[in-house]
Amino acid sequence: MNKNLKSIILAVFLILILPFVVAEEGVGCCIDEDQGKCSPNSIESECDEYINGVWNDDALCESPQCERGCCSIGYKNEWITGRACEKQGELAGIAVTFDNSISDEIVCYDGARSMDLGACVIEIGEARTCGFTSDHECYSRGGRFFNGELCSKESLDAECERQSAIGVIDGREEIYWFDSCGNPENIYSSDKDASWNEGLVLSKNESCNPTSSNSESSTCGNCNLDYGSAGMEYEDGIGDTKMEDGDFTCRDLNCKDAPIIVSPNGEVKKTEDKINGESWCVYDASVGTMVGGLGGVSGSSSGGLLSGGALSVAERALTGGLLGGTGSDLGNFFSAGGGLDAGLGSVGFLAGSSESGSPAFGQELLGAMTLVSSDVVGSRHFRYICSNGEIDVEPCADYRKEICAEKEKEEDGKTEAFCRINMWDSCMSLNGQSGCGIGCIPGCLQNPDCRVHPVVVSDNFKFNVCVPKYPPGSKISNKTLDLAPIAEGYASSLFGGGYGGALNALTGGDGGSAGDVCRLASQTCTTTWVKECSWSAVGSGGWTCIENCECHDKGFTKQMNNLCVSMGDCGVYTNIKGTVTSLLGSSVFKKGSKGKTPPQPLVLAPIYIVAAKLELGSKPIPAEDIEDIEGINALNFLEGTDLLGGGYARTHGKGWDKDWWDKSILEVLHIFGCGKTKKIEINFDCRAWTQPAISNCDFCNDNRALKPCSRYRCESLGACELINEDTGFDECIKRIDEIGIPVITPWEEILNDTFYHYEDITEDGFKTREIDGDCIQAYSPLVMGVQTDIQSQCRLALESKEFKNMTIPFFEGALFTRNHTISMILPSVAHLTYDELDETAEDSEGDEPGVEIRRHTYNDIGEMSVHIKCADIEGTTNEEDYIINLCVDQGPDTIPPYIASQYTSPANEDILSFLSTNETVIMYASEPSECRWSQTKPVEEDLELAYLELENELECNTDPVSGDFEGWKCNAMFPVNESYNEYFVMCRDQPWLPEGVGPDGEKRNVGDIFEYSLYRSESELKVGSVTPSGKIIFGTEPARITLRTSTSGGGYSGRALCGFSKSEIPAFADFNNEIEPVSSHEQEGIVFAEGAHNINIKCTDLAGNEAYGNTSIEIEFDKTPPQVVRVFSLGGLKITTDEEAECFYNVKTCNFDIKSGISMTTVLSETHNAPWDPSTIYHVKCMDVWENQEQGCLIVVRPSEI
Amino acid sequence: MKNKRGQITIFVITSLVIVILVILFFALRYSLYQDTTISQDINAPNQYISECVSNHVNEASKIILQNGGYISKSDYKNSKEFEYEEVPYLCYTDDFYLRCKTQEPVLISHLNEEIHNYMDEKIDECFDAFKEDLISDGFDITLDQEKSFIVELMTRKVRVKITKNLEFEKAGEKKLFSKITSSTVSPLYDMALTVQRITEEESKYCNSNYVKMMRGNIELEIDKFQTGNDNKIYTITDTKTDSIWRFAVRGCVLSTPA
Repeated sequence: MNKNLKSIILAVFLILILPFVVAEEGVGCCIDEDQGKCSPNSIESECDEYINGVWNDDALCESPQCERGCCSIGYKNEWITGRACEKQGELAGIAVTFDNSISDEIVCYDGARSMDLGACVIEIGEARTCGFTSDHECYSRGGRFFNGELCSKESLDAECERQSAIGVIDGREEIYWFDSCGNPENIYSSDKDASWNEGLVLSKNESCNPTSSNSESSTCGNCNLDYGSAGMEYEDGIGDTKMEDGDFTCRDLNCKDAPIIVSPNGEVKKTEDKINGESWCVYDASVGTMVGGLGGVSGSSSGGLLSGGALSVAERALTGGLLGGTGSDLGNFFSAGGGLDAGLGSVGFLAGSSESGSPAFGQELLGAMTLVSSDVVGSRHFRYICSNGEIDVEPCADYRKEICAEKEKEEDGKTEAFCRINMWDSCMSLNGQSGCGIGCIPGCLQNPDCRVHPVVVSDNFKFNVCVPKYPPGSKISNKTLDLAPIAEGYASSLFGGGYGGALNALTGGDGGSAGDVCRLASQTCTTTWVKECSWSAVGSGGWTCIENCECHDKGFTKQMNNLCVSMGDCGVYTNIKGTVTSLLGSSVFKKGSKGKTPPQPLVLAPIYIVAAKLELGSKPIPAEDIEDIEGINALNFLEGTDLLGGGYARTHGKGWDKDWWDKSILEVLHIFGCGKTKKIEINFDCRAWTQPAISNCDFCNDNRALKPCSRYRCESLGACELINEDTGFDECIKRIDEIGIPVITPWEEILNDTFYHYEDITEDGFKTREIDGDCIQAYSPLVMGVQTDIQSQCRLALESKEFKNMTIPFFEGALFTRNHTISMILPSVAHLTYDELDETAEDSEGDEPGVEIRRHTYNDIGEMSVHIKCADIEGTTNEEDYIINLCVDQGPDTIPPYIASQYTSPANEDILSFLSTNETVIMYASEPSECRWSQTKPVEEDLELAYLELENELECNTDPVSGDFEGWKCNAMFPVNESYNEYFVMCRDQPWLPEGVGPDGEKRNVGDIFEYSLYRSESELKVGSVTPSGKIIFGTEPARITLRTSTSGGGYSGRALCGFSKSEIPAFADFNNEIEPVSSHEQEGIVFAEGAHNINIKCTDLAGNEAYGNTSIEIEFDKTPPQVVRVFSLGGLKITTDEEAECFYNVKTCNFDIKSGISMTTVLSETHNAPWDPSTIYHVKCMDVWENQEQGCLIVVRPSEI
Repeated sequence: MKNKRGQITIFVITSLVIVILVILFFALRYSLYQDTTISQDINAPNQYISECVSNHVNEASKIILQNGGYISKSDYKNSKEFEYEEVPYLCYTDDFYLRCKTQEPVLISHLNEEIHNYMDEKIDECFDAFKEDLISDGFDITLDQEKSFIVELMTRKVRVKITKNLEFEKAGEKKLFSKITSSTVSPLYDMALTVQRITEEESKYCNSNYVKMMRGNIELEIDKFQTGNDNKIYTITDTKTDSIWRFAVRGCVLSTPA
């Protein structure tokens, strides 16, 4: 993860989690000091169990030890801690570098592309070897590093031929040329000279087509993850384009026509091409605040109320300045706006709607729909990811506990999305006694998941509430079980003190009350009516409303239901299918006779349906919303309940406040019988959303790959239930249709009707028989089944039992399903009888004991009954067992045995090693049998005679009840004489019977010839020359060498897996972690101490060929500084050293740093030059390639003395 | 007596049905183990032992991957059933509004320990089998009862270093071996690093940026599935070996109004 915690995701999570940290005790950071791994939020005792575990109380592991940086290992960069970097280097035996100044993970990965690499030349005796490494690695091996040069450059004289093969490098995305020594060169291009670049390293940007994925190129291997391709081995048939010089491709990992708008039932509405690694949000319908015109404005744009003019409106409303006017004033004000005011206009409509000022119906739609937190019931946010050419669907946490936010990255325009916690309950906790007042507004606006919801019905019925922008879902099934009568509960209002209790329930754990959440939006508006004087000039003597009169109008219903819906799954609203439930979600009541009752919320149904669907293409929730929420940690979830304790004050109780003069006038009028007042209560009761009466459960089962079904989603569709949850076979079913005693019937389709059929089918069971009505042949595989009319779980037993005591499941296990499978192989009665006869023969004194045993055996399996019980989703089972009758044919066995060809070992036509002279072969017969084999095909056409013609026997398992899944096992040792060997195998069943005809006339069946063949490798596997060998000189310890060899011959054209050992007796380590057999083998960085060493090589191919090789090396360390051999004048001062060295001089002193001196050497050489100046004293220091040098001067040269 | 026989027969049939059902079920889902023939070369005893040990390490590695980090499912600290498998939680809290607690905070050492425990008897078996073969070939064997060994997880392999004295003699020629090293190709270490990083981020940030992890290691595929009941199931696939490691996470769960 990026160290920069300003990064959106981390910032959000850290901020969100901060309150948790305070609450948790006994957890801290566990650091694995050996591996350099940090585990936040760990329990001390569990950490201390391990010797490497060190625990501290920094639960988030923010110590420097746990900071990640960029670790360069080989050709690859990894994003790990410093210690982890060291550890990986130790384990791999290679030098690593760690850079903690890099703060971005992707920058780290991409940095591997620009790593300083070059040729590392190491002289081994007379030979020079070369490896392509980093300077650090090269120096640690004691090599001479030539930065930016390839090992194949002629001037290095390293005997590595350029461009001998192409391939990929672990951790890199491109395809590279490799030299004959196995070193990577430049990125592959079929233009060899351009790629080789005269032996100099060519950067990625300088290589062919650097701004393309090259996925359709056969000439350029500059694959690029940023453009969605990576170098891989070519595969036929998947759209790969093969490179001209090898079996590699830049595989296209991008996603063409990726779904970006998907309906709730998985129907793709809009597609767009996406790059590999790109992620984006997909929703079900409208999300967030619905503002402005239908379909046009994002729910998450957060415009509307929370920004710009809308905010000022809210603020002015709160200060009372604006809302001090009349409803019509408000309407005029808002309707005057344009653009953004489309949203505000709706506020105006909502606020000012009165009988006298209703806009046209179209405007009403807008008005009713705007300023509602619009996520529909059952909806979920999804994050889609383009991953290696496929779409991965990651659902955010259900019940909208998480929301999906998205942003477009500035650097490359790709979208990046993530699921993050929905901080909805913080919104609730911000409200005070009078709703969301001055103190609440800033906090509400600061939380990107909250918004201020104004309710402005009349002068004295106006308030603001901080509500969730993405209202939470609630558990529906619990709710439906206790559908309360309509009359209950509405008196408990948001402002009456129930708020704190509701949120306490919510924040205390799972299972808080959805009804309580909704009731927060229940409200009572009290209107005041006064009796007019009949003698008044203007009065009629009737009752006139003088306060909160607008509460009698539909504006009250609309505004209150919008508030209700914004709380969560409350009120009259739609589900993901677009079905609105209206009967129980919310309602309006009037107490008192005066005035009219506002319309019921159900009138809003069509509006919600239309609006929710039109908003399907909502813009995603912007990730930027959460970048500035540093202060949000004040919204402590755990403290939230404290803020709610008081609850709102009721707004309706204040009455109409006139000045004293007005009151006095009224009192005077009252004396005359008029001016009498009455209070009328209009209640809006907001309750939990209810499932629709008509269930559309299958809606959830459509295309679950793009829109996985879940319990919440399923239950939102009506009286539906999700069965088989988390099994991969989950299904949303209509509950009422799946309850009752399962009716069991035979499952015809599962039965192989060529051989079997069901008969005597009744409601209590059936018989399974062979197609001709006979009992089933022993050892015949039988797959049959039953069906149930409802989703059921079935079990079976061989005797009658309670369902709970039946222990044998069907093939479907504990799944609720309609189809239930039984698969079995029935043993032979005769075989069992013979076996039992053998056992009893010794102590049996009666006549014909076999008859009795046979009778019992036959009674047991000859007329076997399989008892079945099935249970519905409530556990209701069939009382009477459903019975399948089976019988095993006692008559002569007429089915010949056969060899299951797919289970032979070695597989048919397999290749064996060159040295193979015989091979143990395992085969499986379809029933207990005796089997024979020969290398000569029998000439007899009669199978019995042909069988007898085969001269060799296989050793076969003939136990009737111990067959394996593959069948009855046989094995034999087959000779391997030729490069191609044929074998002929035949089996004869009923091995318990004597030769010829049995005592009851039974005849043994012989199966067809099974032809089996094995190849022998054409040649031995050979290990080629192993390098290095001889004396190798290093300057520093330890010495690291690169071991190379090749393989040829064997059964697979030299492809083999090799290991090496540097001990005298081999314990082989794999070459470079080889997994797939290859013919070139290389292992870098093998460490040696000074002295002579033998290295053994062992290679094995898939045919079992083994080959060995070895090499001997002698490691020497050059610790002797170069010595002067000769000093003379020849066109200048010349010094000769006894080995290649670099020399420097200082004209004043021997006390100088060698590299600060004046150089006498251009490249490492035995001769060194300086200008001849007789007046100068040359203080000369020299160092060899290992930087060995004398402490002081090597020589002080005075030209005047020469 | 006869009735007893009948019961036995019923038992046998029942067993057969069960075995077939179970075998059918599991055979379709897994093919975990493969027999590997071990070559024997008297001149390279530690090659024999090494390969024998390697085969068992391979078994252990596969079992651990299949069980999400454990040799035995009974060692799961917490687990969840998902798609017919018991999946271990590697980061878990039962509470609401709390981050998950790392279940195996020293994961690499834990895996080392798991393999070590598994290999303890297996190594003895390898030595015993080798000893028997040598005795049957006429060798005199001296095998110390004492042994010590260490397990090292490293990139793309698991290494086991064994110290145990083995001396054998025939026709006056005597050989002594005491240190044997076995290396087994396995993606366990590399996958464990990714598992550790995911649990680290989940326990710290309530989420993980696994897409970036895939960007850094193109051989890994990581799939995250959020169940409908507040659990996250991570499935990591090493595409080179098709090895899969699946584990569950539960943390940072908000309450659901009911």
